[in-house]
Amino acid sequence: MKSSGNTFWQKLWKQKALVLMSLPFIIYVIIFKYIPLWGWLMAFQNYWPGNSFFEQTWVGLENFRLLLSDPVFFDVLRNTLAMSVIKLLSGMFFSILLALVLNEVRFAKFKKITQTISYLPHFISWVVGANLVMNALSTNGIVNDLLLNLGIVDSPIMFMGIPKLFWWIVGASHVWKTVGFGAILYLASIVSISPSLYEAAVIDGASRLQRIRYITLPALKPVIIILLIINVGRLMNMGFQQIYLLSNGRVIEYSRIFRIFELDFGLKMMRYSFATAAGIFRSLVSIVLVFSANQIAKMMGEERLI
Amino acid sequence: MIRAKKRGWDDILLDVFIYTFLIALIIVTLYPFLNTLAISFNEGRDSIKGGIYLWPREFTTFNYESLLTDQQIFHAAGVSIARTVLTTVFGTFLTAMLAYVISRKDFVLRKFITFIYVLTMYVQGGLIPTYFLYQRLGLTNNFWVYVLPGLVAAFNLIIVRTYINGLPESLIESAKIDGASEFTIFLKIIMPLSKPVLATIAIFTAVYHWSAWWDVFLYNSSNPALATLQYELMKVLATANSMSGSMQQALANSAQSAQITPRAIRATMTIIVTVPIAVVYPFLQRYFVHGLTLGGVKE
Amino acid sequence: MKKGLSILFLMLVLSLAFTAAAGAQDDLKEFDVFISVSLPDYSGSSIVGDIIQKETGVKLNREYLVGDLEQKVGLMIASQDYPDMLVAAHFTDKFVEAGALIPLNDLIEKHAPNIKKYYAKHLDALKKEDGNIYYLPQLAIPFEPAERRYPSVGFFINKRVLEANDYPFIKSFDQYFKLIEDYQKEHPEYNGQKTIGYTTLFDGWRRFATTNGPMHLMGYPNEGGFVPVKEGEEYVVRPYYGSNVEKYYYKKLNEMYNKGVVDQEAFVSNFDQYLEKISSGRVLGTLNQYWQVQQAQEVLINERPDSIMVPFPVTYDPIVEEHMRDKPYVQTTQGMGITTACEDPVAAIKYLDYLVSIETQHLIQWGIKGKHYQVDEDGMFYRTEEQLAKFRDPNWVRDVFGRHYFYNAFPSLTGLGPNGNSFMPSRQPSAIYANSSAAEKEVMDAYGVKSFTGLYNKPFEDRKYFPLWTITLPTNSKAQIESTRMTNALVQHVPTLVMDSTEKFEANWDAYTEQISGLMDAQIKEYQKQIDWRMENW
Repeated sequence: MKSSGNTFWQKLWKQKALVLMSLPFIIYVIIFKYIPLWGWLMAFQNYWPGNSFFEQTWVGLENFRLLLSDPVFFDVLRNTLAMSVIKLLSGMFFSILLALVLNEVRFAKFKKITQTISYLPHFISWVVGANLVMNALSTNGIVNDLLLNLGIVDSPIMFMGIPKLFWWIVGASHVWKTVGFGAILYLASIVSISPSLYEAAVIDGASRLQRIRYITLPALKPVIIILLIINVGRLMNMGFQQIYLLSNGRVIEYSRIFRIFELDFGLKMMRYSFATAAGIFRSLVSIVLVFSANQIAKMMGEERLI
Repeated sequence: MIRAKKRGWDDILLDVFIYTFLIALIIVTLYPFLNTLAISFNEGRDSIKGGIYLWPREFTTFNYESLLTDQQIFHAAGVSIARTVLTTVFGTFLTAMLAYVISRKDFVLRKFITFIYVLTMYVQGGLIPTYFLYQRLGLTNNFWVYVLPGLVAAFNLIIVRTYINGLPESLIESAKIDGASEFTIFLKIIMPLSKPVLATIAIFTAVYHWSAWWDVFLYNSSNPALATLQYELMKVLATANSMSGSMQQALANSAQSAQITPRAIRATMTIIVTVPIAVVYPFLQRYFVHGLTLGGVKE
Repeated sequence: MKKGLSILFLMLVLSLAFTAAAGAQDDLKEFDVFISVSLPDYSGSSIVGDIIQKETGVKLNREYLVGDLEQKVGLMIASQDYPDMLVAAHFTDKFVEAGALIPLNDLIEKHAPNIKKYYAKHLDALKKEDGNIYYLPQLAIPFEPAERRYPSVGFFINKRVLEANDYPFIKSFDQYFKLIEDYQKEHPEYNGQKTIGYTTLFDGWRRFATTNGPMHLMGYPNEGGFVPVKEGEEYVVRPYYGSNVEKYYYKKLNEMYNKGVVDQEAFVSNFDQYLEKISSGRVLGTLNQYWQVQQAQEVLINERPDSIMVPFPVTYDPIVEEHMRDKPYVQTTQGMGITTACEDPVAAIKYLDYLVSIETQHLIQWGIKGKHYQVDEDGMFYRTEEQLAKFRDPNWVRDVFGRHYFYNAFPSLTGLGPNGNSFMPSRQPSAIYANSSAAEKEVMDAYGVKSFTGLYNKPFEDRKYFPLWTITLPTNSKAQIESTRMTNALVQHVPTLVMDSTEKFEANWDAYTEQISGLMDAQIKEYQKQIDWRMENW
């Protein structure tokens, strides 16, 4: 013990330049991100902002009990995880695909313009976006027009009214909105691949597909794995705006998600304690998920988060 | 540039796939934007009827006038530019610096620092405690609340670190042998090599701050001089919404029809916020799209 | 790089300049006010505002709401960072609970003769359990209430249907749907689009347009989720969710849905799409509150006057005596209060008192005599066509005239004044019919009425408590949680009730009633308690 302690301090001294460079960041993160965590204590109270912290009534685990015993809790959990997984996988898949495809485009202008256009939906808020999606999918919308004209269906389909389709509509509209913006990350990694690798591959007679498979993709692997791990931890934190705006009473059994449930029974009623309890629950699930994913990556010898 | 000498069938097929994919993508991503553009130039009440696609039916610049005439909006745009530039420049630099530190595999605090930053992505203190903290730090009613709390975001940090991890270690080693200090290595070797990823997180940061308004609402709403562009636009939208919403229920019969409708405002806001980004974007884009001309380093 | 740095430096200087407070004019008394409605910032000058500022020597720094009110309220209370005056919609009581507002009783007694006089009828209803008044609502009714052109709620029907049937008076839901169904059969298309027999709004919080149906079919105005039924001298809170009338209502909608009369996409459409459908003129019927249909109606009036929507007080049985119009009420559960942070409450109440004098109200709502309105020999106000034209431009009214900045959410007067002039120009008795569009007049003439409210019975006379929906359920109470669960149950079950096949209706109905049966007891108890309190104290 003692000797390891010694080496630790010795090492620390030896790396004092790095320590000095990182110390402000440690203080910074503690102040801005960790001090407010005292608020977690609210989860065990009936917090009412009009009283000071010490005048609050303590209720123990009551808020957690309410949360976990709600009749719709498991529905909500299922929908949240299902839609998050669909969004995560489809979003990443298409962003990577776009990055790979753009990398194969030879005309620089076309490449730049396409890349610019593809991220435009990022700036369209979900309020506007949801309207566009709902109009496109309505019975007299463009999708039905297309299907009718191609003779694939003989009467229009009410897409927004099919409960089982809802998750996929969410997934598809998520891809639409994020594909271009998400691809930027992968493009940055592709750019840094040394051209000599490709040149060598050409000399070896590798086809373009083979070059993608054996050079580009492996170069992307670390960032893909890291993003997977980070986002697995975010499965519970999926934003609610998109789903809230696309959802309707017909599909509610498939569209009710945790963040909306949390909002309805928490902040909207000014029940801060319940909202905090729900937040803690999300955090705990996130931490379990992210460390499991990290552990799996470690076991497979891949890039790790920590 | 690499060009295959002879084009086999698989090569042609690949090109067919690539261009079909990209053209389909252009259609689905460009159309909504053009539609929004058309609605922003269409008379608001006429838009209620629907049926506007690529071209306005009753052309008007009224939506833009009602959003942009106000003096305050230009002041707010100034605030937005200030916060965006400050946070992007300092945030990117600081993030890169810390990312370099935690990319050093031999650094003793590497795991600890990575851990406390990663955790912040998954635990949040909540609205009220955060407000109390900012109040104590004097950050409420203060411009710097836009800049300080978001300077180093864990997500960006990890992305940059992952990138730096992929750089050849030999570069650092040889620099060390030459007697370079840690800070010099970071500044002179790591920074220039990390341009693509730094451009990426710069874009993420800039886009976020350019369209931010929630923190204005929470911390600075009582001081009009600190409003951001998006906040001013949200104000107009909220007005339009409430004119057709429950707040005005009691006054409904007296309220004249609003010529600016929520839908027209939303479309116009989208355009106003997007255009400046689209103008600045190419300057950063060249770092990760221009491609191999920059000379890759990963092996 | 150097250029970048210099820009950066410029930004820094600029941003520091922003933090410096704007210099205040020293001769004016300033108050900070938080107002929970949304408006653009006041420019500091307007026709109305300049006069008021000159006469009072008071300048208001207004903060209007942009984001979520509940979050703002939480932060304000937690940090005890209050402006001098505030109004926070239905959360105003939270500030009372937190001790943020000062009692106004003595201030009104000593310094506010106008408030004392014109709010006299409402003062009892404004008293909290401790006997104190903490805030003043907008739109007090000091004398008689005024008529409106449209009733607040109605079963709307397309003018074309009425015309084709020689303007029948519609009383029952069956009759209403029969007219629609028959007309739709004969006219399956309008302007090249499919006719929609009946549509209904079910988007987000606006869905009450649909779920309130049974309450209105029972002849009630909008009370909220429950109806207080008069039994002897008592008002007993009863649910209409799960009632026979509700069953009848959804059964009818279900039948009509399967016949293709009810809009197939009603339950998957949002508000924008709803307005779009109605303003196309192809919708024959819808149930809603007028302010949710108004935007579409205005399009119709201007562009398809043959298809304007006309409201009727339809009930489930013609025997039912309807009272669907709102009894004129003042929303006494919210209003503007003076906070503990205000250093000169006397000046603040004097300012509010100045606002509710008859002269100031005429200035704010009508304008300057001779310039914005005329007075005839009987002393009645009216506007010339030229003056009217100005007031038809909402941006002019708001920004140049300045009405909203002294009216919306501020204490104000409504109804008819002592000499019969309406405080609100649009409700001036002579103007309601005269300023209607040709199409509106045509319908009114056909029924021999001077406004669409003329198609309705008089509202309930008594019912001091009215309406039930202004009661807020206590935070963290069982009733509050029940209420949210109830909403969720409605969202889930109503679309199925209407959209499933008719054979499945009974089973769906049973599933629905089973789920809601346990979600009402605490709510009823709480509402009953508060209704009783209101009946006793108001």
